[in-house]
Amino acid sequence: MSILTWARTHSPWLIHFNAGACNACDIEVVAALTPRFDVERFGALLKGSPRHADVMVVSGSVPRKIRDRLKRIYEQMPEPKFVVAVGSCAISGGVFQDCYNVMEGVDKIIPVNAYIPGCPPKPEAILDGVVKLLMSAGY
Amino acid sequence: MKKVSVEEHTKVVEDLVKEFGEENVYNTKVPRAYRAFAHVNREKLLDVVKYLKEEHGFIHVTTISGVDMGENYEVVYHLRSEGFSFSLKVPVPKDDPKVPSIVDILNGAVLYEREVNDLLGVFPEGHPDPKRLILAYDWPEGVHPLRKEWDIQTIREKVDGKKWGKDVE
Repeated sequence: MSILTWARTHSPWLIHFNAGACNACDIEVVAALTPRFDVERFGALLKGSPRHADVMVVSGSVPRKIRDRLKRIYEQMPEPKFVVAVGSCAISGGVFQDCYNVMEGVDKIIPVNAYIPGCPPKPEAILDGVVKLLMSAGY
Repeated sequence: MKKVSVEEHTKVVEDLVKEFGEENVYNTKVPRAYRAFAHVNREKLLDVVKYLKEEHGFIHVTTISGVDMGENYEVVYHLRSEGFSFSLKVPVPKDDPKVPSIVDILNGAVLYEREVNDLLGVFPEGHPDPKRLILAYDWPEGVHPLRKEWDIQTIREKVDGKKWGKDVE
């Protein structure tokens, strides 16, 4: 493992983006950050700006009006960058499939590295997804 | 809020029918106290709303909803006065989808009429600022997603230029 990979995979800073989610996934993401589940033991830290972040955690079914903003926030993140789609909505649109204003999933807009199913997924599942993402990046 | 019997609210509706005639206000229904429905002709809508506001204190428009009934559209004005909800249903023919704007009488309708215009395409005539409210910026003119004659793939063809989704490979 190069020192660069070591440094990157041991401090994956997160940006959390709500693309039209109902807040259930957001609450579970926030729960995963608390000391009880503690995603910080892997070095993950929630950041307020996409310019500081390596991993984008997206929840929600991506409505048409959010589409361009999601793309723009993604483009503001420095390389290398990863995207985690949290919840059924972010994976495929969920129950909002076939709605006129729904783009049916984050991967229609930007490339996605990890999918976490569930409605909402448990904090343990979110932890598992983040860890699997780090493993694939060479943890 | 003082307790009002169903008779008192039936009287409000009967007053309205007496004022405007049975050909303009019809299909009235008062299922219980504090709740009433009536069909109103489009031509008399402004007079009815004004009468209700001035005579019976219906100063609050809770929301305006639009329904595609098959042979025509129906715009439903939900008015409220001291807990008494009165829904005025206005049939709108499909070949002339317009209603008079009630913004001059009840100012709270300003956003609801724009919403009905976006989603069902019933234009509020006389609205001070009838621009787009909730549809996306790149949404084409003349596509109204809540009209029943279009399914999702027809809308996607009009908006994105192609069909897509789980039914289309």
